[in-house]
Amino acid sequence: MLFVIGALPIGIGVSRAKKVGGDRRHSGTANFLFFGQSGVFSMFRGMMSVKAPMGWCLCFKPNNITNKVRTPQHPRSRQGYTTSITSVLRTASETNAMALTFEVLGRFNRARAARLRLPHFVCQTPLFMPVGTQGTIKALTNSQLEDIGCQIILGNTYHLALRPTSELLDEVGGLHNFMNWKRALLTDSGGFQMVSLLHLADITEKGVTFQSPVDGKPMLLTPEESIQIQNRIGADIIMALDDVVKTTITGPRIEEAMYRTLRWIDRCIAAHKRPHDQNLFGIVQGGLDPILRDICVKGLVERNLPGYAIGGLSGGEDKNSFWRVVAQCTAALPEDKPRYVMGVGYPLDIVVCSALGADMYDCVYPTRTARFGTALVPEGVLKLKHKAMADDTRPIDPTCPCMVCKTYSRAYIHCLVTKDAMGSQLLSYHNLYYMLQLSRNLHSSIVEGRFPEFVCDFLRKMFPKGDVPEWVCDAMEVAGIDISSCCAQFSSCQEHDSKSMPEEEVSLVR
Amino acid sequence: MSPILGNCTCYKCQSHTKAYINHLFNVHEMLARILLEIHNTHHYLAFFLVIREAIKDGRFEKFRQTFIQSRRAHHEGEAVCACGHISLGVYIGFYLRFL
Repeated sequence: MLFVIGALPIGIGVSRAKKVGGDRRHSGTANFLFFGQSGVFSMFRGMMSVKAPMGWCLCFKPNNITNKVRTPQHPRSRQGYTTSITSVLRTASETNAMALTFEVLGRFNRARAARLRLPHFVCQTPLFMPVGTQGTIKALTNSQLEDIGCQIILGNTYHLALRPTSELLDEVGGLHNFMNWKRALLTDSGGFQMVSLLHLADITEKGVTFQSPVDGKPMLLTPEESIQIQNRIGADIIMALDDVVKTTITGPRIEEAMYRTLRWIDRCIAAHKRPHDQNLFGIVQGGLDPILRDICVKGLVERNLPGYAIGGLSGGEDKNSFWRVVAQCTAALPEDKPRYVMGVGYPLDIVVCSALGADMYDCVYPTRTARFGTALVPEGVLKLKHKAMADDTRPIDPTCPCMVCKTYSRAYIHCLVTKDAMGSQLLSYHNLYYMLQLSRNLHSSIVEGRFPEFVCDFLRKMFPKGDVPEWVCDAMEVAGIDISSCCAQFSSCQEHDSKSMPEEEVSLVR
Repeated sequence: MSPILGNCTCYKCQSHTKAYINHLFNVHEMLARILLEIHNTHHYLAFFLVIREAIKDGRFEKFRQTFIQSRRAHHEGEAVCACGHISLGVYIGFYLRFL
């Protein structure tokens, strides 16, 4: 005797319809697959009636079942992508298999502090992830990273696939074993590097075509290939391949990229062979267009992924647009899943995004700026290459308890910066300590119910004259945090920080 | 997947393999140099510790002769360490017998 243990409608696509007054009931034919003790055992066609939310309609598959199912897509999207019924089944049934738990420990309005349990480590959010492009955080040893409280390292799929190769990593049991890192790892999909590093990259529906940096031959990175490489690398969190477009670009290309990202996520899910060990995160695209972002968020949430990233926000867009996109996406993403803002790593940005409900961040800024002789301090930055540092015997930051600030003077580090690996090591250590301490302070202030005080204190130190940028004031208002005590009159709020990053540092991100 | 020296107690050999160090060198990561410096410094300090102990115990001459013999044998084997110099690594087991 067979027992039905679950039913799954197949081929029901959701598309946006013109808004009409009142709720509409739509009826149509849906194909169902049933799961029993012997696997998928029966299929039938039946009439069904679905109550759809206002402004949306459900598009049912026609009665003639073929062995191909068109994935749900928006009517405006240009190209469909077909997958077999078995892979769609896998998609729907195994997306729920998650290798993480996300437990919110405290809130203040939209901000939240949580415990993120991953296969290799239990993390506290908000959290900052240092970027270890080639399987190492530049100049720092694993024990130093553990000392400063690093929870997750980010690795770049593109670089690791070139050297040491994903095959070698697979052979030695993954990147964790290869670099002897006991805590969590996250790998990106490689798409961003394709676009940013390779001038001759060409994106089509199949994937990203690029010239091999090794022998110049044309190569193709598909969503399937990206996931296969990341499965071999074995990180706790892996990212779906997305169609990357700079936010400064406008027009139909943004829309095309967003729909392609949604189509590619299905291919990524179908290709993901280790859902019980690795968490596949989808990436919200859509540029600065709130409608496109909304469609993308809804499409990804529908796929019930373990976590979600907000992509495309580290390319020099103005801050006003930046925070609004973050606010929109975090408001629409599920409460019980982690939210990762990709490529964002300025301390001020992290505080604002955390207030708006984001959880995870990554950026090369702290380590790259360290190699150029700049230290992060509560007041902003300290340029240790400056002549004034040559005889300054104070620590980088007298309030910082890190090993570097307790041991070395500004004058000593001034002698080392840009000349000696030790200079890079010490400044990278301090800068990452600063970022990780900021993350810990965000977490504890939310849990202990003093988040607004923490934010005000942070802003007072960074803007002692009260010249808090207007975009920060606007963002905090939306986040429900009163920062009037650390702001000058609103009219004097500065526009000076309207760009996402200083122009000379735009290239520092990711 | 083995360390530079199996019986070395330095941070590098306890934590990382030759394959990983090789990768770091291939991609020009400064951590490669840092880790090798840790290993080589640890190695030299161990070497001098053995010399001090041998002098203290009045057996330095015996140590010197054995050291030169094993060095000659090593030269003939043409083993070269990662940094391009003749490695003291082959003698580490020998040093440890003197401690």
